[in-house]
Amino acid sequence: MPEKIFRVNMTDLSTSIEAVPDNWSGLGGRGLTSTIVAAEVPPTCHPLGPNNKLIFAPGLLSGTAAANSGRISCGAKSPLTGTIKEANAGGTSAQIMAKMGCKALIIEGQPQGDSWYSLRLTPEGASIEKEEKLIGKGNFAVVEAIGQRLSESVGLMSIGQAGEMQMAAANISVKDPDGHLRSCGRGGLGAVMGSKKIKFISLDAAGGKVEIADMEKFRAANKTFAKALVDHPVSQALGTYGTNVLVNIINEAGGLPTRNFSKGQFDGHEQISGETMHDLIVERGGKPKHNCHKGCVINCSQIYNDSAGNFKTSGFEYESIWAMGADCAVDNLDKIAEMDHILDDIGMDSIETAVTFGVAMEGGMLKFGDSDEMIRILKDEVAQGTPLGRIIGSGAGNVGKIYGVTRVPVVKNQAIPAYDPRAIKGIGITYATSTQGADHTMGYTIATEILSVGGKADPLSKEGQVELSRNLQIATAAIDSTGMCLFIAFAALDNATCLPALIDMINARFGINLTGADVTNLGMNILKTEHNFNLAAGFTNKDDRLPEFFALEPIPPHNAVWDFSGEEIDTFWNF
Amino acid sequence: MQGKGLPALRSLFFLVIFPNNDITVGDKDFSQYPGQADCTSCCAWPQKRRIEQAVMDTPKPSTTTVSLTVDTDALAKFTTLLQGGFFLEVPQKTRIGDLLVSLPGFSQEYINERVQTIFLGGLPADDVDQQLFGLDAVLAISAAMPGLAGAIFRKNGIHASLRTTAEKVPLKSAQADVPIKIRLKLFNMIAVEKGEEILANGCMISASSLKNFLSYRHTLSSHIRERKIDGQNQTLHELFSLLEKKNIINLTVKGSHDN
Ligand code: SF4
Repeated sequence: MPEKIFRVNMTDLSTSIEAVPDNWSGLGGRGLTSTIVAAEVPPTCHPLGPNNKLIFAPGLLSGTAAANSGRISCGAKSPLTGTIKEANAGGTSAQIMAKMGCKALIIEGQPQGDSWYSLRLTPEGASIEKEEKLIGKGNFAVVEAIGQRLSESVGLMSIGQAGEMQMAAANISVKDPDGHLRSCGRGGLGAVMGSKKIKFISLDAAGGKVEIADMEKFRAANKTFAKALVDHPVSQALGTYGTNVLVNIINEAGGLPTRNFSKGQFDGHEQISGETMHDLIVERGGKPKHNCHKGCVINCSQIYNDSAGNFKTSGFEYESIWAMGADCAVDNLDKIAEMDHILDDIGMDSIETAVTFGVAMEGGMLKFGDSDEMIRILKDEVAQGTPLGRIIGSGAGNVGKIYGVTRVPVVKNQAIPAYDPRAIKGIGITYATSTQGADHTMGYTIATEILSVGGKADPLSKEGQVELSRNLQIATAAIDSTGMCLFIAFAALDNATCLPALIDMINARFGINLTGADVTNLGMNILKTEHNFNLAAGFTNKDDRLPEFFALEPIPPHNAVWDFSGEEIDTFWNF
Repeated sequence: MQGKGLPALRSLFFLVIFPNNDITVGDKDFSQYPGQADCTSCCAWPQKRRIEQAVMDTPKPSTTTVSLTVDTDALAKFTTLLQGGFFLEVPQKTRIGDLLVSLPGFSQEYINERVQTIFLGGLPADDVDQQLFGLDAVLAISAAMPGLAGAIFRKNGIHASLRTTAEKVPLKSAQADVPIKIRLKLFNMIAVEKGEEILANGCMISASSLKNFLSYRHTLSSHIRERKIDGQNQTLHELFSLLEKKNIINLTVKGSHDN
């Protein structure tokens, strides 16, 4: 089935199908969403206005049997950061979208009036329907209702109340194979979907399949690739503990931001560690190992049950547990799971929202460790859209201003995640220079030399550290464009067959001859495209900075401070 | 190789006494310890070296022994207790690798392949030949970890250059014949794979660690079939009141089928 672009205009409620422009044909995932945003969205537009566009794109290998290839990318100008934004998630939507031959869905315009709508995607294109029943409902109610209305097997992307209210921390939820939720979490893309008055998008591939140019070569490469993933010890740790295995490690390194980034170690870390979580999951009949989409061979997700053995949350990630845990001084996993469930239902980024709570605690809105009050605020204020709820939903940067807090951990107004940049400086460079605000997934641990992105400077010098961060961001942008889960990166570090097998799969899928250098160029182009969009939107090198408190306040126990100068950081863009 | 060559030494590790639970992060600059250079060149690990001297070969009479017999299928859950660490004392200049290979169930191969992340005093350690010295130190070991942070902290990881270089702090000097007090934390797969053997052999842990563990994992108490304090059967309540009062205990955990 030839690939197409589905376009939906919410101003006149029309839809169309377009051929894929030549210069988009080699792109997928983040590469495609960022290219379309840069080409079609005026950089200075209001993110919640009619000129912003919301783009969804599966990866280059989504819908095939390639292991871990089912991430869906969502892009727009972010209402939280004002920058270009891409967020991706697992779930079933990427595979269904690819199987229906949809290379990208572009949603533009804005309806007049108060009506709400849903979109239905099939191989025949997109259709728009009015929606009344599910407005004001949480994501779990939407999943249940659409399962009954259409079919349990349809894909679904939806927003909760936070997205409807266009809160800057709103996310877009993606249904997983078990009817639970994954999230395009960061940057407030749920608010953009809300601004288009779209409550949900259902997807039905109607038996469609992705064509493979050279099936034999594809199968052989996928076998090598999947084996490299399965055999790797990090995959084994992820399959046992999930990403939350990092709590003890980052705490030991003094890099676990605690009590709104005032300390690097949390006394209650053992209570919220991956080890403890694993034992609780097993004891309560949950699943320590679970996948967010069919074809994942790592299984870092899990099903976490409450003490009565009933489902509470899934995809319980380190960054979320850190944010609601150490950063807010909450040492009770059940309370954190309860908050995670509410955030999934309301449709809010668990990192942004919890870091916002940390800042609010510093400002005196509530006490550190008061998880019951956090739960009350989420249910009674945020979900109901009270003034206090809207303040919390507007993100950490805004709450810091409202409460006069100086320790506000954001870059480009996006909350800094779970690794203190004073204790782990390499990640700090990524936070500062990322085109999308502070985001730990922007410069992942990719085997840069395999993608021919080797460094030239002394790796221990600041110049070398900036160069390595740049190379990691280039390589990450390239991997993000394939639609692969980033956790393939660990096997790629140690197993020389892994990344070449991935490139072989792309070549076999499309009948082309990409090289590692081509993939690197793709990553560079994506970064430059995103950076240029931000410059045109009014950002400057002065926005590539960490908040001042990181340089002023040493963080215990190592008492390190952030010591990169602006000039050193600015060398990042010398390529 | 299963690292079974030092049974006597192993028993010493688990009988030494740590006098109080005032544990602090140890000295940071291990490279400046006198004599390190010549020692690493003449006795290259993994040639297993005898650790010359364990400091005490019997528990002090005041050390309370707590023995738990638990449902055998619940034994693995108790290994998570070791994320908080257990205590041992080793002679000055003991290498990390020598210490680890002396633990029950540890072999050189296991340490080389499985132990991929090591922290000494909160700082990543790349070299198992690194010597321990000073008054006390916290050592933590883990399997390979995910994420950029996991790669940064990994033993000899290719992204190690992105670490923060910690400020050097003045050494806490210790005389050559004064042992180093080590708090050894076992994380994730290491605790699962080796924890049962360590608990069965007995280890010195802080009483508050066990008390907290049984509090936040309160359902585990139902798996404890027998509690003996210094050889006498006790109730759970009595165990908790003891843990309130003590600093360090000598803990043994065994499965009910092992008896
Ligand atoms: S490793 Fe985790 S995030 Fe990646 S595809 Fe599998 S379950 Fe999803």
